[in-house]
Amino acid sequence: MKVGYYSPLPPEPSGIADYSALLLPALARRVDVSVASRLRPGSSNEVDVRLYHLGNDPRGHGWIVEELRRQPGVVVLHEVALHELVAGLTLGRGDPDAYLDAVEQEDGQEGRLLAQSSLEGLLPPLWEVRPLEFPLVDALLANALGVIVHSRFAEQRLAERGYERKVWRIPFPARTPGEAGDAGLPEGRAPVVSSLGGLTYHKRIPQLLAAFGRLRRSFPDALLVLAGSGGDSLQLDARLERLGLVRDRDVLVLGRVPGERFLALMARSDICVSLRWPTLGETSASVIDALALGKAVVVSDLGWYSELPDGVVAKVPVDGREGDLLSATLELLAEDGRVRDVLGAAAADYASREHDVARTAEAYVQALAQAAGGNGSG
Amino acid sequence: MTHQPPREDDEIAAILARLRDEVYGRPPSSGEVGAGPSVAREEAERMWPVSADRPFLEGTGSRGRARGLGLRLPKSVLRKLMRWYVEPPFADQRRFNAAVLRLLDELWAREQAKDGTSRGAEADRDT
Repeated sequence: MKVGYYSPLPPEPSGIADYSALLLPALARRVDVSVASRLRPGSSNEVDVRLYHLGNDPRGHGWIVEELRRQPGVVVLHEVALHELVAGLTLGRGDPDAYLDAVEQEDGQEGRLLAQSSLEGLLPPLWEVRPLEFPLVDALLANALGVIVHSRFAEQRLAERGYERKVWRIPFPARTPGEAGDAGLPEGRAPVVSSLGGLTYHKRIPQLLAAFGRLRRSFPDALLVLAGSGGDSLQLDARLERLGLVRDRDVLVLGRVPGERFLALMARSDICVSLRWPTLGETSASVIDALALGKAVVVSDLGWYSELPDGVVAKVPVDGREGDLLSATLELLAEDGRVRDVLGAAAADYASREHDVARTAEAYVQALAQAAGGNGSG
Repeated sequence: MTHQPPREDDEIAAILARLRDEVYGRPPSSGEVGAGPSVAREEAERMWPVSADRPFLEGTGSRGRARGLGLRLPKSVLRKLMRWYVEPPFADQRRFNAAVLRLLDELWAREQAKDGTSRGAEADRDT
């Protein structure tokens, strides 16, 4: 079977590029893969089935959407709400009418009015606060032979949207933890709390900063490490000042770091925090990395994150008590090394069982064979 | 029937569940609002630290990217030149916004506490 593969690839700064870098070698050992690129999208013309990876970055996925519209294939839906992608491909190209039409086509006149209000600044953008209510996936999936998702949550959301073609749920692959390099963190700081992989408002960095501010009252040597792109829009200095935290003393703010340093920072962390609201129906690669490294992980209790077993991660619901429970959870994990260790061991065990890359590649082959109408043999 | 000792991760799950029950059983601390993420409160939290230092945006597609990159340097220079003029009022605005949010949260916490007290008193009367 020959597979045409459409995805952002390294060195593009994208989680889906990293995902493909992990999956492609395992897939290529099982089937013949022809990798298309932005500059040579037609290089996958003679194939049995095409595999399109879709996520919300319009720069990374615009050309893939165009190819999908031209030729049908299996879509890997990395996020079940693609409103931001559609907004980027319309508003980002100076075409608000196309955006409003897209919203109206899927969500009717009410959706259009809300979208219009958000364009006029009367409401926050729909993709920021109500992405799952207005996911804008139907038109994008019109040419899909079937969809691959990573979670039951995403599968259910598609079913609720009335998607009728085949949906395969294939676990997200984990990187094999190797020897951790030097994280470049100051010596003697404990506990090290980190949130890695994107400094966005959706990752609830302000809420984490507030909880960390409380933790530091009992653990003055605690250090918070934030790494990832997007920190500019958070106005971190003003937020730190309000909480009495000092940049570089209490909180290290790193931009996007290379993969090796990312894993080294994670390995050096005592507690990895990955909060989220609203969810776009994504599966978090940084959470999977932290699980594979055997770390104590704190996540928001929603979407895919809720599917993680209770004894494997600590979950914090996004509700009126989020800050209190997050602070209490950080305190517990900071003061009780045994809880951290047991949680970490359960996490590593879970990742090796559920997120094995070979198992993921086998599942892809089965799905692609089914879509191509063959038996999956290479 | 033999008694199986609890697995360690079950034990940790029970500890985390107890912690959650404990936190939900005590009054909220200042800054904890509402029963769920209020869109308005979330937006206020996002927007209060106003600043002229905003991220540089670019359109999609190669033309948008080229335009964005081309404008980055002049925008950056203009921002630096105007900073002395626009930043002081923004700093005042940030302090005001943060104070209003604190006030709202304190009022909310006070209301919640009052609600809890009156519900407790009603329950006492019923028993």
